[in-house]
Amino acid sequence: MLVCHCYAVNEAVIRECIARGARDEDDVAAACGAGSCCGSCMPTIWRLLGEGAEDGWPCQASARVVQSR
Amino acid sequence: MQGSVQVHEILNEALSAELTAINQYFISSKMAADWGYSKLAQHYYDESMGEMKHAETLIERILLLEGVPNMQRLFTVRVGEAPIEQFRLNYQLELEAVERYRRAVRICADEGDPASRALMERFLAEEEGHVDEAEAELANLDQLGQALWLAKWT
Repeated sequence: MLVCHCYAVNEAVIRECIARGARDEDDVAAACGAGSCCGSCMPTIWRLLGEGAEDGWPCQASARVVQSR
Repeated sequence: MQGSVQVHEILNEALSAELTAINQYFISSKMAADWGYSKLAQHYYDESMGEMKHAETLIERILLLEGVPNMQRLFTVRVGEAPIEQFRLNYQLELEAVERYRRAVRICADEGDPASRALMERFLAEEEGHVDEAEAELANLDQLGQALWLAKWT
């Protein structure tokens, strides 16, 4: 699945970044650019980081992630 | 005519989902055409247009209830990178639509809005039809194998 449409980054690349040590959305952005433009894919990135988010709206998902942190 | 806040919210959530589905099916159609699956491309194109008709009706209903249709918000547009992955992601979209319209029927009933409820029931039945079609296709895929299943969509 294509995750970040702005920088054309798919799920496999993000999983690879996480496997190589990316621990949060800033690490993922630094490693591959994903999530650093419009932000629409942040819920999916949080899901891949294992933060309990689901695909959806960035505003709703960020509220859930903040609560769980 | 003033609608309840809960009805505005669920109609707008449904609108976000329909706008997401329009885009997801539209890009699926164009990618399928690019890969040479012209029948699959036509199927997704028709689905995209069907979701646009749903969006149109939702927008009109929200305006009638004096709400503000949110044209800016989308759910995650899940773009599969290969035909079968794409088909499964589109099936997931339909499953979520069924769950959402079932919830919407309950909310509209609880809020005493039978006309909105009837609309949600009509859309629910249509999305259930899409789920049923997709499940038949996934069963075909299982029985025929990937190559034969893909061949029927060229």
